Amino acid sequence: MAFQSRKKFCFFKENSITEVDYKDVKLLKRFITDQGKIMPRRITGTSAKMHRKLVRAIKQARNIALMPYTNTSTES
Amino acid sequence: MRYYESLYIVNPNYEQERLDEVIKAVADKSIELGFSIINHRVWGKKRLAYSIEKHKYGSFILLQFETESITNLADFERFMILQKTILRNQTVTLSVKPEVQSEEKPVKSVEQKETTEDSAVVNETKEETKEETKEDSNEETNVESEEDSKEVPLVENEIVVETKEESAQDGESEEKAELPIEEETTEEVQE
Repeated sequence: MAFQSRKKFCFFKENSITEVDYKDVKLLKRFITDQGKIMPRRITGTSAKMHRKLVRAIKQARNIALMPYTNTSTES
Repeated sequence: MRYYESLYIVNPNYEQERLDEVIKAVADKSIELGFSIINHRVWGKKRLAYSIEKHKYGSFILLQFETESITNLADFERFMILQKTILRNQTVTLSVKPEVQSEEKPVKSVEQKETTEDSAVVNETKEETKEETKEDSNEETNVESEEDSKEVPLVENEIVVETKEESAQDGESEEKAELPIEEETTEEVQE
């Protein structure tokens, strides 16, 4: 019996978000793994256009120390 | 006209006066370079995702401005890097003109209202839960009391019977125990 995967959808399109703010850490944390890596869009289901904006925002947040580059177990 | 946003981190150990000095220095430099400041406010003291110069916390300050010339941006960037008081800075472009935010007081009042509403909701929920628990406890106690009331007579009867039996046995034993003493006393008297 094969499992049916849940249909993916773009989070930003569903919530009608057009711009991604790098200061909105709560939103950005949805799209990174526990290690701090950016999740691929084949998993998150975001559209290509919004994924580009999302990646830029995450990298900007990392630069200003709002988000971690890596999240090792020793730091936490 | 293009809009820019500069977020910079100041040493968290600075007092308010020294923080104001840093903010004033940045504001003066940006005005000198021909920027027109839209917003310049303290975002807050936050925990850094990674330590910068052995600091775990930092005071974040947000500067939003507009300018026509891009060449001055390099000078501004250089000025910010050279400041020892500023741990890290980042300037990004804004696609939309930022809203002019007045003092932090109105924002705080709105937050307070929200918090009060939330707290009221929480209190209501707590009261509801308390009432529910009270009702449950009352029901339980009622049930228990009913059960006890049913059980108690039986138990009491048993106890009463047992006590009667025990008392009867005790009475006999006491009588038996008393009898020898009397006999002894009688013997003593006879002697």
